[in-house]
Amino acid sequence: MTDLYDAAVAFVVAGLSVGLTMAWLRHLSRRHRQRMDQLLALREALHEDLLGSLVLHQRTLANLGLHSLDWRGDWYGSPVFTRLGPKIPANVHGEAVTADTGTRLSDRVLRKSFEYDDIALEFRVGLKGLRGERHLFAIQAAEVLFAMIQGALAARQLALVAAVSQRAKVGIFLQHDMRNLAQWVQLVAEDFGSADTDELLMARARRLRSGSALAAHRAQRMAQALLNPTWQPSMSAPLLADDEPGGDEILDLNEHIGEAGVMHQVSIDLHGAGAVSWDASALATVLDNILSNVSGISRMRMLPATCRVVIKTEFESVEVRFETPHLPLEIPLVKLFEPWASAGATNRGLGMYQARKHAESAGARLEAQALQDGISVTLFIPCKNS
Amino acid sequence: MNAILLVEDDASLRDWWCGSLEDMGYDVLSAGSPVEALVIARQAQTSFDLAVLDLGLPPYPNEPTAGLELLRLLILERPSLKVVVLTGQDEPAVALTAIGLGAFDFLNKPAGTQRVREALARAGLFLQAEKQLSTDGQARMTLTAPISEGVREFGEAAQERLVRSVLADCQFNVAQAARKLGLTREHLYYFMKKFGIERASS
Repeated sequence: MTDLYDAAVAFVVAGLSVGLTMAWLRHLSRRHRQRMDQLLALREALHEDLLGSLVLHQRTLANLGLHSLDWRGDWYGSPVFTRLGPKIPANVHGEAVTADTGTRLSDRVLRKSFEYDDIALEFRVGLKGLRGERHLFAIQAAEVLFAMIQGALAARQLALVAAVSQRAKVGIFLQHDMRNLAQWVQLVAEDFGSADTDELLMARARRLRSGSALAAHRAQRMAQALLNPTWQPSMSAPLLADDEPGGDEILDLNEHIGEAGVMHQVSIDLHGAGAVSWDASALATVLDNILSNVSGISRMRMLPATCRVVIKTEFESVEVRFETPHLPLEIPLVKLFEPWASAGATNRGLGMYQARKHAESAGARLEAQALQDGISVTLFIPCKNS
Repeated sequence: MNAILLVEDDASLRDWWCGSLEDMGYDVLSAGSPVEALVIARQAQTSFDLAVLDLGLPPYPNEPTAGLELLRLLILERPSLKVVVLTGQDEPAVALTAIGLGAFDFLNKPAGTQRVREALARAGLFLQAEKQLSTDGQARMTLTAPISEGVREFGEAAQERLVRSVLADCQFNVAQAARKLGLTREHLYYFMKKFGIERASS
């Protein structure tokens, strides 16, 4: 009887112990999850100011067991060293903890190096004094923090590349427009300077007045490029006489496709006919990019540059299908409209991306499908209701 | 009055150039894009032997690609055409390519009216001299071809240029061109087929 009683008590005690342990573990995991959420919430802050955010959110890191953290290296040409919390030893148990690159785990120190063009940083997390689940949680938190730092650094580099590229694009655009402006000013100055009769002077003044709207339009376009850093110069939009550049006009598709074929030395096998009220600049961009690809890839593969073009006029839209069934696509179909997806070494890979963006901004659609060994690209231009 | 083709995508500059060239005594045909220029080259009632060409043209006004291709097509269409390139795309490689394609002169923007006037006057003198030579039954031509391809290929390039040039001079009258070249019509048709020469669609 006593034995049974003792066994029951033992079971109860064991059960209570298990229950308490489970409750304790549950509490720990919940607290850890909350703190990990706080760490993940730092993502945006890290993207904005990587090193400053780590200092600012030292407490959040310490709550996750990352009491001791330091980093050193080169930050855009400036040497940096920062330590948060207790000093991390250079040697643990006589072994150098910073001898190799990449992540290195020891019981005491976790280390990670990051290298980009202008950034070389080495981060170390000290784990001294952490035992059991706190040690494991701290290691997990440190690995998440390293992944976030890597993401922030990669995003920073991408943003930098995009900004430099944008600036270069605006620079090229401005150079083109500035040259034209300089040419225009020189012509106007010379013509007025050489007008030696009142009649000639008046004729030139009238010419100047008739061109004043275009001059004002150009000034606006240049001001836009100079003052707005995110402004996108259109690659295919010349300075037009129209007040609304790129406005719709009636376009004879056969004529435009034929001429574009001549320009790109692509033999066009045209089926059907059609005219559409659409943006001439958008059509030129689409034709130019599709046919330049056909031309380039054909020549690279020593094949005749030919393209079958089918024009179908439906009630709601005009469909122009470009077919190259025997011209193998150099990149996967799903990547066709992706920026920088390019097969050629010198190609920038922006052509089809821009063609699609341009078509969409003018209210049309550009889609691609596999066709035998090649591809079919279809432009859907909506019909304007009269 | 001498006719001239002006190809410039910047409308305000094109307008002003039109006025300035008219003041110089030219009858100006203007185009804002390669497609417009080709239509004029093939269909214009007015015959022109001079052109002022900007290289930065749509769809890529910031690159010389479209302008250089247009230059090639214009020369192919009208072999005697004298093209003065006037462009902001003034890298040496672009100038070299343009000259190789048959440009008569290469001017950087901004260029003064006087420089353009002189370049056009020089081009006019060459045209006159070439016309005189043609009247005397001679042809002057410049060829750009890789030397490494050999004498035969170079000779074929010269043959093609000559056939194209004479056909253009005779407004594609095959009988007249054949007489001028001292060939039978059948023989001329053979050359036309060989070099892929077709009458420009009107």
